[in-house]
Amino acid sequence: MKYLKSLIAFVFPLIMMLSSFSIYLLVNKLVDNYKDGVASDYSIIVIAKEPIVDINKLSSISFQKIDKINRDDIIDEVKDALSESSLDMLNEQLPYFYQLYLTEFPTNSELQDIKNELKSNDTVSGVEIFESEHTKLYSLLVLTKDIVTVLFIIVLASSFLMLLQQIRIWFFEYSEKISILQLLGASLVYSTKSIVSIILVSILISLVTVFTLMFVIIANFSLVSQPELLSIMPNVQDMSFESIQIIILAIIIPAIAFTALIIKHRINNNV
Amino acid sequence: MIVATDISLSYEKDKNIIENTNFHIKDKEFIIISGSSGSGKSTLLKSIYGNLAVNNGSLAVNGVDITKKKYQKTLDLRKQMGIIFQDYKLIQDYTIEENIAAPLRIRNYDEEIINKQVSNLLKHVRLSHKSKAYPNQLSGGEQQRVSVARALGHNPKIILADEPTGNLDEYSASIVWKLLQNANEQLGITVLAVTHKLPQNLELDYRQFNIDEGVMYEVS
Repeated sequence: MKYLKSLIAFVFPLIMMLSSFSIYLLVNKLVDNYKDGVASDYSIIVIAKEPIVDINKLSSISFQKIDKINRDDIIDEVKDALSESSLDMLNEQLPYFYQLYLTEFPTNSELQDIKNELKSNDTVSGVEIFESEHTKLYSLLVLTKDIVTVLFIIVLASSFLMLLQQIRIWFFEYSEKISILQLLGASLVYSTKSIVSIILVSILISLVTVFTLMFVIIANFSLVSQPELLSIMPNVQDMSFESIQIIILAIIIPAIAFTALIIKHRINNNV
Repeated sequence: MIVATDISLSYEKDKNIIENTNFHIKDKEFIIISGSSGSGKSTLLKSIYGNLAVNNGSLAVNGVDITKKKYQKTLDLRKQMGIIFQDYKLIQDYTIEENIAAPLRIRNYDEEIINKQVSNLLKHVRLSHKSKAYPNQLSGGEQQRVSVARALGHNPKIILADEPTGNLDEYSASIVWKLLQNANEQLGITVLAVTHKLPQNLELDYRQFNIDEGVMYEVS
């Protein structure tokens, strides 16, 4: 019973920490996937007084490609309504239009920076960035991502303190055994094998719990999220990379707490 | 085996328990250090098994200078020793055979050898029938016999015994002294025992030191 209680005292913060990390990873993946999807559709219209021959003039902006919009197509659309002289004037005065596809979908502030950068170019007379619904939704997702990040950091810090406290209790409970084993010639790491084995069992229990929860939620995403949200959500079924990250965190955080207390124990006991 | 040159020992600065002490313990000797309670007998033993740094002078065990406590050096040294304590220091959640096997497992002995060795030791201390029992199910005398078996298991070069019979009745004490005598005479292990109760009714060939007011001297 005592063993079970102390196990729960360790497993609980570990599950909290891993769950919040899973949510953090999931939200990040959703936002990044959405961002990639939008980036391929999104373009900026650049209006230039003369043809942009030297593409290096735009080198400060990271873009995938720049497409020239054919002027003749624009004129063809309006030529029936114009007189011969107006058409000549339009031919003479009509600026050059370009469609700029960015490599990444920018944030609002990045978009403003790009707009200012383009406008500072002498040949560019106008820029249309189309601050559409996409941008607003993206801002909302970024806000959600930031909130989840902050929450994750808070949970991580408090969980770490709880794990540290529980390992400290175990060190106290096993102090006699540790000192006897050391007197028999065992190293400090060997003497604390009992603690290490409880930590490993706790990690295993926590990982199984968190993975089960995570995959149940992903498989039933439609039940836990709004239908409007589902339509914009990309596929997140493949979480193999995220799973590795979760396993690494599940091992690293208890390992850091354990190592910190081993060092403290060595200093306190002058061994 | 153990050479102490002008050693001083203390737990607090400027309050020496042992002062400017010299002694030389040879290989395969049986040494008894006596003295009244609080005279510093156990303190001396602690410094020999590396639990207390030497303030002044130098202390060498088995040719290794252990004047300054060094973690790895202390561990290596303890691997050559068997230590017996007055309060037995058995691991309570280990069975008797697990307790005896512990030093062997620490030294990475093969499991087959461990089982054989533990079985022999249990026979030697006449506790084969209690191999699966836990320490709290044994009497004081039996626990101290387990402690002796544990100290002997890995064929140590030296056994340090800190008041090995301090908590035992006369009969149990005589069994423990006999086991230590056998270890010394039959296995050639150096024994250094600290006690305030000298062994009775035992033909034991030993050299005795006494500690009085921080000074250790040989009793002729």
